[in-house]
Amino acid sequence: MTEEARLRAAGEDKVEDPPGGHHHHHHDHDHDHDHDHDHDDHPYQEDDDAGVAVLSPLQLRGRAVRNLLIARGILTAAEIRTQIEAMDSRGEHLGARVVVRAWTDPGFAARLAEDAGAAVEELGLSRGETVLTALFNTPDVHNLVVCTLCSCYPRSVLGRPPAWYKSRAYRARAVRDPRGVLAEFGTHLPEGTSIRVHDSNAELRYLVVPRRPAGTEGWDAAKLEQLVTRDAMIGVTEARQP
Amino acid sequence: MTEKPETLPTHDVAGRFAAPIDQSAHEPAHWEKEADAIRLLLADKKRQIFTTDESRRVQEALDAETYWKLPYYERWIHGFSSLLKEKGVLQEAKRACFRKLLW
Repeated sequence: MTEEARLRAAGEDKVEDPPGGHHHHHHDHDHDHDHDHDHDDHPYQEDDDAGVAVLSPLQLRGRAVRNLLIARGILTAAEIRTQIEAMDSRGEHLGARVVVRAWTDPGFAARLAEDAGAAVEELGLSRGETVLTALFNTPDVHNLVVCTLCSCYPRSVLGRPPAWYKSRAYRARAVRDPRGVLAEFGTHLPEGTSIRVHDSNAELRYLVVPRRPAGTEGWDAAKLEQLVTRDAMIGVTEARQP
Repeated sequence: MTEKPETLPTHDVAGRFAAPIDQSAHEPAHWEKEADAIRLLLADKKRQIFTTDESRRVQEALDAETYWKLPYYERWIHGFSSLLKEKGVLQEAKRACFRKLLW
């Protein structure tokens, strides 16, 4: 039997969370079906499999490679699970902590401007494998981040990038028509505000520090953090207005 | 503005495509998260089986049609599986039962 036939026969070609489909959550559920293939922990709900899709050949190749890597001890199932959980746990809530600290603590803002990697570590966050740079928006300059060549993103703070960030249209247009891109995201800056576009790369990642909205004097950190969105830290929007 | 020549590599897309940006949210599926995790782990400090640049080199060698057609994480799977073969990490790649599926 070929490996492809074996994987399909074992039900390993089923997707539990098809893109755009119905989302089931299995956080209380042991995803470690790498050591047993009798799939009594089948990753979709038996009573509602409307969203179940079958893995494409390349997706199935990914699963076969995973099984081989585990069998050869190059990776463990636990390492994969831990890595997935670590990435799942990152997101705009972490970036928002960095931004709000910078809004409320000038000393921190100065350290963030000087060495963002070291500054985020002060907050218990990871600087990642690359150089992290914070870009501070001002009334005169608005910063926008893209990765024209690929999908580089400040994952250690914001997690996985959104799908649109990786899209051909965003990668192409952010550098050519940034004002048009901002308008598509509902952001209309004054004519006099310059837009500075930063092209990320394999060694350097950017986090935009949006401007603190007026009328938020005296707010506590938790309330301020609600104003700081992922999109604002990429630069396609400004912080939410109170 | 100087027009970029048509001979630029596919992935060097800056300024060379015009379409509205599809902003719809996409919650990653488990196979996507797994591909994401495996790629990062294979390149981590403990393993260092390949670098980000090597993974990109493999993806960027795809023809333009395939590069843009493949879902993002399928391109990653193509990248890390190709490198595992290239570097001889998975000898199973040579076995007949894996040949069609893997490479």
